[in-house]
Amino acid sequence: MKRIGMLLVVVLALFVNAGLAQTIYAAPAVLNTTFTVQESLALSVANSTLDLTKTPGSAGNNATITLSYNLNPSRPNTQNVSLQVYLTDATAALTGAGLPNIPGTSLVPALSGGPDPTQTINFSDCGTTGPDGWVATAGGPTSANSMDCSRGYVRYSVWHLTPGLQNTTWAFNLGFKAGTTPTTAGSWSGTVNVIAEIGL
Amino acid sequence: MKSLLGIAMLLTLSTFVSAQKISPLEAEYGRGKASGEFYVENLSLSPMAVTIEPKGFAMNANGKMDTFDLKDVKFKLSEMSMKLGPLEKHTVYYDVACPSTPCHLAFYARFVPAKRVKLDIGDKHFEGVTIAVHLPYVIYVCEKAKNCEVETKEAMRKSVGLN
Repeated sequence: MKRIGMLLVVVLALFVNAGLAQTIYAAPAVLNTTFTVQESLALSVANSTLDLTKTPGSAGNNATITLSYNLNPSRPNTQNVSLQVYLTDATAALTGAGLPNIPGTSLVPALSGGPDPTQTINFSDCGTTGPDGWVATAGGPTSANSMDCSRGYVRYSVWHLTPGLQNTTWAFNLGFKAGTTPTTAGSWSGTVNVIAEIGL
Repeated sequence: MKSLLGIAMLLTLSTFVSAQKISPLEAEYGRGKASGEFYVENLSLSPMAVTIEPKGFAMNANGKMDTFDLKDVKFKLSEMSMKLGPLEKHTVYYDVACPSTPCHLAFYARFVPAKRVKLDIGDKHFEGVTIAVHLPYVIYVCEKAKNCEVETKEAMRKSVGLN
């Protein structure tokens, strides 16, 4: 009776072992199945408010924009993400001497970093002489002025992102070129719009 | 001294890392209608104001997409604007009806800080230039959902003489 019992335990163990073996054998089939990634895109901005009265290149005058994404592996590897950057509703209220007296030339932000650092946003056409723009007088404006910079625009493309589960980042630096920002007292306000394009 | 203090406060308040997220990125639908959801997330530690902006888009001669205000496509959104607290995530539901197929559109989520940094000290006024982040969620609608995006983009390329 005891031997029969032991035999049953051995047979049961063999069944269990066979079952486990089958489970382990089936595992690669599970790994081969396609799974869908919840795709996402994130932009992070360190220093989300620019202080244009600061010296160009110094803290407060530039912002680093980081693009993070998580793309499905089934996407073609030619998938691209573009960033459009433009400035809207910029106004300036500046006083003092030393301001540039040519309309619009005082505000030329630049994008740097990423695969092509040569592109710049050129707002040279923003602002006109007259009540809504810079007053072109020697020594610059002497009273509060505003300007319309809604036309500044650049499209900055990042090509060939590698799809996958990993997060990859591209860092951009948004700042203002040296020698183009007024350093006298005053204030600037407005919005720099950073627009991501993916899937379009 | 007060001016320096104001500028220091402005810089301190503005140096928070402000990350914003949208997911998923796109969806394909058939039968001329779309109904679904996407979520927006504020990954920063300060509140953000979010506005959903519907946009149409078309390929230009250089193969890039140009966006424009939406005209013919009818849509409903559960919300057009919202305020997201720190680390808050919010789902937006939509219904889209296209006048004809194929059609496509994008819902852009525009994130800006809920409170702009403003400081008035004496006769000095400190206000910086805010950076707004726009993230897209793209919808493609065809007669059949499968390969709708690829077929739509191929048709666009042909229409502008590319390929």
